Amino acid sequence: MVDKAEIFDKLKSIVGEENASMDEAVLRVYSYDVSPYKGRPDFVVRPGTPEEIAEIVKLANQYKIPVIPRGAGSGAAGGAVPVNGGIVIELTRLNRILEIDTANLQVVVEPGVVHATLNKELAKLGYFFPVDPGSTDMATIGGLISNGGSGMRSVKYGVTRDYVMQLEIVLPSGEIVTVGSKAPKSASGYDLPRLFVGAEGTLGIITKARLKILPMPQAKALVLAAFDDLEKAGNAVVNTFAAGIVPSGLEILDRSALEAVKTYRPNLDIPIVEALLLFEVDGTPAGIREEAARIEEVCKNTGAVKVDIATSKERFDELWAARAVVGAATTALNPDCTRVYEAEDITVPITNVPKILLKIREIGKKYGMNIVTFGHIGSGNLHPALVINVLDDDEWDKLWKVSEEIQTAALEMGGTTTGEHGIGIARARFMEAEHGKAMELMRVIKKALDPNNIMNPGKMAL
Amino acid sequence: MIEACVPEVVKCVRCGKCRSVCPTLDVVGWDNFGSRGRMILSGEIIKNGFEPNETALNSIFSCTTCKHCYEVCPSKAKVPEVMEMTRNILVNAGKGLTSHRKMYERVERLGNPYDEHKDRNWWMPEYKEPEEAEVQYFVGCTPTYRTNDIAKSTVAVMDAFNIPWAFVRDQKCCGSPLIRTGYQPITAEHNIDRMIETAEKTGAEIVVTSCAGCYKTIKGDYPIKAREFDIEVMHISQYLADRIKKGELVIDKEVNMKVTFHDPCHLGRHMGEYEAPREVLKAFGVEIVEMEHAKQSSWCCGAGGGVRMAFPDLTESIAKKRVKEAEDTGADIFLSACPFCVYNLKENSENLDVKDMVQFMAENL
Repeated sequence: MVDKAEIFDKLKSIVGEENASMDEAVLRVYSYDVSPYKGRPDFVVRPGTPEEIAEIVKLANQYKIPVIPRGAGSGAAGGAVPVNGGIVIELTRLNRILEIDTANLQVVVEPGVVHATLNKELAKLGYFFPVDPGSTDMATIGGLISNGGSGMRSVKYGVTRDYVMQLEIVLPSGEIVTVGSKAPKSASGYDLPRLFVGAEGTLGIITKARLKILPMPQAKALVLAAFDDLEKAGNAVVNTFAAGIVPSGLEILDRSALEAVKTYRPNLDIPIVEALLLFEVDGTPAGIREEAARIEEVCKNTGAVKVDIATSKERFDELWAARAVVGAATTALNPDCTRVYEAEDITVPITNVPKILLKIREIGKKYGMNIVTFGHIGSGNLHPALVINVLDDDEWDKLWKVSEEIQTAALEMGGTTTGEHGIGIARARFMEAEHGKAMELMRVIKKALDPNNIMNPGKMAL
Repeated sequence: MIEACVPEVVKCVRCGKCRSVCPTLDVVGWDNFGSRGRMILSGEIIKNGFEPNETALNSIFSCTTCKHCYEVCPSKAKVPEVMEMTRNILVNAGKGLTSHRKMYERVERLGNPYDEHKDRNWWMPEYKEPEEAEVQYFVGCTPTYRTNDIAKSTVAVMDAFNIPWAFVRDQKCCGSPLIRTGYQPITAEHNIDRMIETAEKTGAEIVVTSCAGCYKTIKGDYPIKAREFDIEVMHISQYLADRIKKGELVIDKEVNMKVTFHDPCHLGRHMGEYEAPREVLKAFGVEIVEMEHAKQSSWCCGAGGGVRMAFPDLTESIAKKRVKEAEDTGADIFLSACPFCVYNLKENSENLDVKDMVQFMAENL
């Protein structure tokens, strides 16, 4: 039997008394993230340096105690939920932007830097970190990397893994290593940075990240295309790419989402149709005008009932705001209900988006649940919002069934259960079905790096 | 109370968006000192049988109820209300904070939270209730006993504009510090009766406060409908802005100053009034330079919700951050519209002069 008091004393000596806790109230708070899962840690620590983290990990290895890295706890998959107890390492004190090197288009940050903070600083210099999660105000860079996050503009700019050049990692052994390169490109050795992107803290703890940045585009415009048929909207997306245009954002709001937005913000000027596509284009003022006009033409040729181009900042912001409030509208509309983050991140090949949208409607109808769906159609990533009265056990039963059916359907259509939120505990049960023998490869890698399985055990079915 | 609290607690989806705006989390760092952590703890206490320990109580009672979290909350979870309800449940279970209990007892005994025995009108002994008035002035405890110049300035401004006014008779604490810390507003009935009485005697059917907290409490929290209380309650900035807009009050002074304005949480986010104080200040010709956090995103001064009383160090850290923001604007003066905010910010400002807008007006009329 491990003496908890003894371990706690050691943790305090590493991080200082004020940065370690095994207080019951603290443990209860750090038992949750956004997901419906819960698990009580034994300790919570808030280290201030990579060296302190290395010491904590060595201690955990010595006593074979689970270590659960945590950023802002804003993950939706239970990745930071300590389902097997252990030490939660909160990384928010490591929140410095260490270097902004615009000439080389790169920055070096600590893992606890909040995404919005980084972009606020970069904007002052005319640059940006293009990955744009909806959780920008709270998500930390460490969490974003560890969960393979992305966002609305991934259709043109890619996802987090495309921007990670170099990482400093505390390995499960407690060693600190740096993987990757400062060079803009490198063909040298295994692509180790990518191994740690999306690893959810199962292979080590990221303590520094060198990220690629880009100069901000000069101008942006938004094309709004309304369709009376989901298939046509899907075809318009395919035809847009075929016309040689890669929009910087490409979102879909189906009827359920549009009705939710309209009820939430009645004054907003948007049509209620079967599907509304929002194309964002960015670049030079002349370039965006041309691209917007071509998208308009493509959409009209594909059967759009109405196309509207927004170049004024006011209209642009208003329309993006409409997209941004969908998630909120789903909960705020019904005072008795709360959104539960389950099956909220499915991703399918682009051409299957209309099909999965219809399937979600069918599942909703079957279980009598009004599922509002929205998402990044340009990258096949949809966010169905399951909203229930969380105080009603029967509704929970229904929710689990709906979640199972939506995610199974996504896999059957050649998709994945997660496009940008990660697996955690929430989607671990689908890992075998999704990856087959590749799961065995993941286990081999995990065992090689973390033989005692102390790093975030139980996550990603590992 | 538990029945009312549970559905509000479960509105929180724990997304953590409030992490970016919670003034206490910003200082302390531990999640239990932020809105999300507090919502979790409230749920653990009222739903999951957690017998709150000292850390849990400190977490719940250190929320300034500034409502900034609600402003950004995608689910519109009512954190300040949940905190007040949870505190009420804790107080009723004998688990309230000692400093708050003593404050409650002082209000019960003396009608004010400051342990002051002086008559409320000590600063204006010559006052005699006029036979006719247009407004009733509800002074509030802080201007009466701590920032008296704000009370005097309010009177001076009303006199300068020839606004006939009377004191609300025999005032007691509005009850704001009681409600915020989990107690019942035991003085509400008394104050309502006195306002009705004053209205009957003087004809003044508008109650004006110079305190944002009193305004929020009387207008927003008192059981008005139950008493058919149809007297209009206004913050002094609203009353003046309204009359300036109608052309009834004319300011012919031009003050060449750069001013930054702190929106009190109880006037701004709680009651939705951001423009009235700015309109009044603009009438003086000043240049208003906004802080990084202004209006809906105004950063709390750190004093509200009973926090200044129970956690003075926490309040000090929050206030210093706010003062720094004001300094960064390059303003000549830092104004607000709440005696409690002003009292707190002034105490934590070394270089920049902090005043209530009525003081600024009285000096420049």
